[in-house]
Amino acid sequence: MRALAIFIAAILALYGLYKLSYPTQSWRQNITITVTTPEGEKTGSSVQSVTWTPNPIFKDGASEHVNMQGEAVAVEVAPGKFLFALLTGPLGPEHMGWVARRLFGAKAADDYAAIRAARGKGPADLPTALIPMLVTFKDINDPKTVERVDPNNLAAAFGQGVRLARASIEITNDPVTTGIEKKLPWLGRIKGGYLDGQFAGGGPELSNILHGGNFRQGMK
Amino acid sequence: MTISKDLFLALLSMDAYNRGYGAGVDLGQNSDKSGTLLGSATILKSKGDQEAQDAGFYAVAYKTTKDIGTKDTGGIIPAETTIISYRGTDNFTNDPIAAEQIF
Repeated sequence: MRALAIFIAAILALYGLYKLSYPTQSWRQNITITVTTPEGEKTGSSVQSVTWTPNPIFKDGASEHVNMQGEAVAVEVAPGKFLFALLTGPLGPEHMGWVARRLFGAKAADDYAAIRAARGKGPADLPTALIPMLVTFKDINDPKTVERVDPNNLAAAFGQGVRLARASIEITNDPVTTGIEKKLPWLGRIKGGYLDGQFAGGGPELSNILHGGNFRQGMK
Repeated sequence: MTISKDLFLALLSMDAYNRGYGAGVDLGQNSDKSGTLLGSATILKSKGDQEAQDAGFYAVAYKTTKDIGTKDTGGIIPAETTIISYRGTDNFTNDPIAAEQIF
């Protein structure tokens, strides 16, 4: 019995030492997209949770792994016509996991310390390079009709007078946003698969590149 | 210099770790888009959607654009051959409960 207690204590001590040496970092971020339309400003926001875990033991090439929980930002630009700011973007499939690190950590020695320092300082504007991929649907009920939206030319997708006014990020304590499936009724049906329903992806069609995880991750 | 087929296959086997989600090396957005060229192979398709991520799986299929290797270096992979490279990543170290909550 005593040997078992020593063994368990040793395991816990090793685990504690590991966690001290390689701490996991986690935060929540509120992404807000504001669009100017002829009818006035339209805004959408989404709180996402980001967790970065060091990967010093299982050498699969990545020094850290990121896990995201949350969903895309949805802005109803016109009745029934939505703009979505996805979880993916120019920085790769884990774009929204990188944004805070790249924005706040750009001039800091420690990304995570910089994110901590951003606490309580309100929203910070995202430069174009950090804006997530923007998309809309010709028919919101048909995922195959997804179309990419140029952040510098929303008018091409939504008509004259529509433009991106602001994209911002704020480190927050607010709960993770849910409910995007109410706007995208097919999201549960595709079960994280590619929007066109194919088993494999890669394009060239956008509906064969984007998948359910680009709209929602880590939610049941 | 002609590359042997075994070396080429080894390169493709490692390449799967550097494309799609959780990549070890940042090759940019859409690094596994169909048509992307890697030496004498082009990417056909990939499997890195949320369904695959939930299973810790990623795969990429290539098609060779010309013959790879020589008889003297272990054989030849003919042009137009499909090669599939895949990885399974069990993220044992992920422990959100013990995360240092910045918030």
